Amino acid sequence: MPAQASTFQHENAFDFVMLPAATRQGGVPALGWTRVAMDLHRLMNESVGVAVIELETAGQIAVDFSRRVYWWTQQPPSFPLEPRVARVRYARDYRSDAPYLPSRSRELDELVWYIGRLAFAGEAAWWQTEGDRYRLAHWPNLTELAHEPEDMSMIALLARGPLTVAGLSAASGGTLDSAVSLINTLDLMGLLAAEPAGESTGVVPQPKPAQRDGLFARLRARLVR
Amino acid sequence: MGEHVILFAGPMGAGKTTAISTLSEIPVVSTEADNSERDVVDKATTTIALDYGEITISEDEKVRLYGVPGQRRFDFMWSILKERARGLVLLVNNDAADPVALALEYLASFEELVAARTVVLGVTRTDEAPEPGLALYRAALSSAWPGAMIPVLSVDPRKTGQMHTALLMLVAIIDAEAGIPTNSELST
Repeated sequence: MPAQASTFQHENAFDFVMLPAATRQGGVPALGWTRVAMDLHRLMNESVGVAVIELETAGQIAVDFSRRVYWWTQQPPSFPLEPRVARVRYARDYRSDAPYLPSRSRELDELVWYIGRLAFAGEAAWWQTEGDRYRLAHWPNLTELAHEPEDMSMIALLARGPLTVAGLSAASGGTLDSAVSLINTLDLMGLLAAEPAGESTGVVPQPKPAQRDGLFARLRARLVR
Repeated sequence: MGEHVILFAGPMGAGKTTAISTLSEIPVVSTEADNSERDVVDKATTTIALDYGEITISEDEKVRLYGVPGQRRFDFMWSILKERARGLVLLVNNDAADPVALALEYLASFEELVAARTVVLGVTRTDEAPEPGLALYRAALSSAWPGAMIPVLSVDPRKTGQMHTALLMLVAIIDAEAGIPTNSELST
């Protein structure tokens, strides 16, 4: 399959089902990356199947859940900041041994990291419950993801113990927006375990100067000179 | 402020000397000798005592980077250095025979740092040997040390950005482990 193809060529060979747009309270439908994030959240635990994400004016993205890779019909990869129209179709019966995605496919985590940072426009992901605490299940492979140094210190805190979004922001000294965005993203990637509010036995968030003036901050300042 | 000792360990050929060269602001001080295990890794010399590099943060604060020898016959050096170490970057080359088992073997030698959760595992040469994937390392580490939360990264020791990420991740963990009291700590 040529990498520059404009559509996912094997779509007709399988029974693709259009996923309905997720809605939030009040029936507000998900749009753009938020819609894609909601659909991916439903599918991320699948070990089989292919999803085709159709982006207005930005081609198609095919996701192979068995291999945890994706492939985009446009080259080079430069995703839109917010696609006005996005639809997702999914085929569970896609044969996982069929090499339909070309060898130039990329790691799925890279796509999910990107979408997670842009979806939900600064709000908590719609599947989350306010007040829940989050603990890291395992670290993302940050050498392959476009991250900020602040992400590292926040993830390290989540590895230490469960934190609410506000607690993470306070403990790291980072903004609430960046904590929301990071937790949305890690949650979408399946890297967090959630504890319902009131059940936590873990960390009490303490905004400490050490997080801002610690070795991390000093070394970071030195390395980016 | 003082000094912060970070160890780089791993099998011969994993890229420890290269990693320290990439990070260090001074030419790396290396002590090398003829490789007596060319059947294991085909390079003429290997580190027999240690590599040393450093990063100066301020007039009175440095990060000292020590690469410990890859050949197990020199592992007495590890015990000397690990008492001073604040953290460990373990490098394992993915094209080694059974690299996951190698990672577990090396981590077992640094169990104090594993228990302190101040370890990062960098898997090198994944471009030449994509398998085993990082998920296999994570599963093996979680099974051997539940709760240790050791980050597993693919890393090219020649790339400055990737080595900065690995080192900063380790330091972020060191800060986090030192920085926040838990409920139990508060109640005592």
